[in-house]
Amino acid sequence: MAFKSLATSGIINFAKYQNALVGNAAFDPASDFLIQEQILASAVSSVTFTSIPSTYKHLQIRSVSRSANASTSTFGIEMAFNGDTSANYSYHELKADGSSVSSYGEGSRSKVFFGATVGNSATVGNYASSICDILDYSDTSKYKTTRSLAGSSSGYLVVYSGNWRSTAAITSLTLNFSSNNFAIGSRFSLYGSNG
Amino acid sequence: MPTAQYTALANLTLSSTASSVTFSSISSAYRDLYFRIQVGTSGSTDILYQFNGDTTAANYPSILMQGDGSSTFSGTASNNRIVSSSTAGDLTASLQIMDYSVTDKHKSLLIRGDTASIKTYAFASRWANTAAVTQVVFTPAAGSFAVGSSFALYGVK
Repeated sequence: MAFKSLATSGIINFAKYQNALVGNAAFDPASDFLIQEQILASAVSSVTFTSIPSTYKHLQIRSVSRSANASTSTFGIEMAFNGDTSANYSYHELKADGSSVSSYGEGSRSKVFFGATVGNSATVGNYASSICDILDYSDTSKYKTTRSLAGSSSGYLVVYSGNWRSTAAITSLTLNFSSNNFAIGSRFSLYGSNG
Repeated sequence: MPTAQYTALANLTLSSTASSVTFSSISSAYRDLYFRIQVGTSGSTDILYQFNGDTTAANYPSILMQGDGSSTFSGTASNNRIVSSSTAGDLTASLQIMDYSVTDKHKSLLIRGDTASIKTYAFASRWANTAAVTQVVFTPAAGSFAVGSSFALYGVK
């Protein structure tokens, strides 16, 4: 806001300040924003976010999902960027299944692991959750790195780290469960972070 | 105007010891809830959480993964537990409560925590109830929260 002039005539009690914010709470703008969200009204084999703006520094994806797979097990959800399904991805996992902790990794995959989903024979109401950060997603001087925490109380808990060997800015990403569809009611939210 | 992801809902730092800390009348206007806590306790003990007054441990199934500097461990449990705090006040934890106000889902949680003098750990947990979470209570299994313990709650859009 620009000030043209201020007059004190007619004002009984006043004090002069040079800061227009004095006496008011400082405005602290948010640094993280919701970009897109999908809540499934029908079962689908994949969820895609497109036209991702390059204006943020990092991305975060949060999901709560079930699959249509007739199983009580927990399964991994895969992710690919910009339609690239060539062997340009690597990942590692640290996984706990309630009895032991295991580790695994691959250096050349067609997708990276994003999170987890549960089968449709799991207890009604039971969903798996996933949170994945994609760092410096629009930086064209870097490969893209991902890190995830995901799991379900009835299956396993997993920490993923991933890498896409491309310096292209991420403009789209696709999540899919290779064995079946995502079930109705599954939710996928994409956020951009400036911090 | 883009929708901000995080909205600060409450921020509490204890100026005296407390046997429990309660967040109530939680708005249903968000997608997820996110707690960040840093606590000390009067003794080494687990920190418990409960939703909407439900103290039935069996309603909180979970899978744990932890490392203590020399070995890893995974276990299952039916309790509403965040692992041990200590008198050193070095328990920090984040609790993500997903789809907390959706009434056709159980409430799934992803918990990360560290008690620097003891272990690092993570949980995948669930509150086996479709009710919207309107109240969260944190309680040490024994003793009390120490002065300076802090709890911050955010709504996630």
